[in-house]
Amino acid sequence: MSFDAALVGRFIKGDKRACSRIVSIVEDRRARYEEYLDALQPYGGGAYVVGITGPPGVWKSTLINKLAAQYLNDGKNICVIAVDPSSPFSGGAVLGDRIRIGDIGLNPKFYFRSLSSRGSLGGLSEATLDIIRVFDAFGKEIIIVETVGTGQNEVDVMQACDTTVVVTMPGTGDDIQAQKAGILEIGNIFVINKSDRDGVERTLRELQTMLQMNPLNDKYEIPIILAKSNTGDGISDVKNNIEKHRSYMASSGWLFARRSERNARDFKKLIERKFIKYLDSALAETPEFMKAESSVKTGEISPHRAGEKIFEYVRKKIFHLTGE
Amino acid sequence: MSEKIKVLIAKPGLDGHDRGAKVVARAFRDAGFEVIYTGLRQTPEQIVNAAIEEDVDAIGVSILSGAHNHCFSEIIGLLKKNQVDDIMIFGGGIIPDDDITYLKSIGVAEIFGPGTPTDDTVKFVKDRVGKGN
Repeated sequence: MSFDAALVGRFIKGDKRACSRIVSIVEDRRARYEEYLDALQPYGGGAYVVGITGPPGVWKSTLINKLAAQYLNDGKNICVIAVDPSSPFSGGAVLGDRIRIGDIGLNPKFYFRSLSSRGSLGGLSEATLDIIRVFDAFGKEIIIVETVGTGQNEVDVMQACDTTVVVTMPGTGDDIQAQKAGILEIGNIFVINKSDRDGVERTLRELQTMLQMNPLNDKYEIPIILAKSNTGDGISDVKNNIEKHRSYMASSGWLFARRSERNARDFKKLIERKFIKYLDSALAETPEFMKAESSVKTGEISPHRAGEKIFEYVRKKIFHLTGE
Repeated sequence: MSEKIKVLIAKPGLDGHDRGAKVVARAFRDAGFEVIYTGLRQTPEQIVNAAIEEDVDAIGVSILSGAHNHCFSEIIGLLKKNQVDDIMIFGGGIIPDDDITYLKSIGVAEIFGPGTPTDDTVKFVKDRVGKGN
């Protein structure tokens, strides 16, 4: 597939279909997708990225709908990227977060894109960070990223976003205990949604206790907001606290640091992916690889020993390296 | 990497019966497609906007209200207005034969009535827009 400069031209002029298509190219990792990202790079940098995460069923989508509506009221150009899980069996997915968009869907300053996690286990899909870059270059001022419903370990969102909001609800006391090593550490803002339900005081107390022990809390007091996203209660509080955290991030130098780190990590991952892809095709049909693979399958040789052998083969025969 | 077939399953108008839409969505998922479900009571504008934002390969419209001729022609008209010519549109629901002839004449690829095995619908879409998955 060739690089379509006209498509990029249309993108830069603000054509929504061109943007959608480039997102697909990047999402699918189609041939030469890196060139599109490279071409868009000069147009990005203006977006602020907010991640929303938490267990399934805490009304994250509804909260995002209300939050996006408030930003739209302020005249902001908004994008929501919502990730839902893919099937481990078929690789397919039903992406249902659009259902909660409601009236704001047709606002010309609003854009909603659903993503399948495509087998990725960190709460986002592998391409999410690059898709954020595409929307950033498209002129979006606020990009809200909704993770799949998360449990403990899905902390990719912290690395991809500037402010992370963790949403929970009353009655998840035991869950919170279990989560304390995972997503409780990554929140810059906590929301207890469905706050009219029984057990809200207990959940609040537990969160407060947990946050007192969080070293991040020493530098910036992490807020806990009570909200009801079905009625909209507490949503302006969420927005104000996002903006407050944003100013803190900018003035403290954290924003720059976090973004630099993100770029460096992305760069390394890209190199890894490139090498793996290159090696996969370079090795695929070689007798050395096929022989080692079949010996591993039958148990004649351990995977570790075979791996070492192939690594040596790659070093000497593909990269022509000598010595240790 | 992987190019998934993306299908928007849409419920236009006022009927609230989405069992069929959900069964079909599930069948596509199990066949490895990515399905975006719009939810109930969508206007043609919302459906076409969703199809563009999600960059889908096909739109499946489920409609049981009797307003099919109107809804399909609105959706097709809006796709044309937005110069979209690479999204296939198909439908399901209770639609009389005469209307099926009409709908096909305005650009609907196929109508799948009650009792159609979901495999048939999946195979049809895969054959038409297949990217090899």
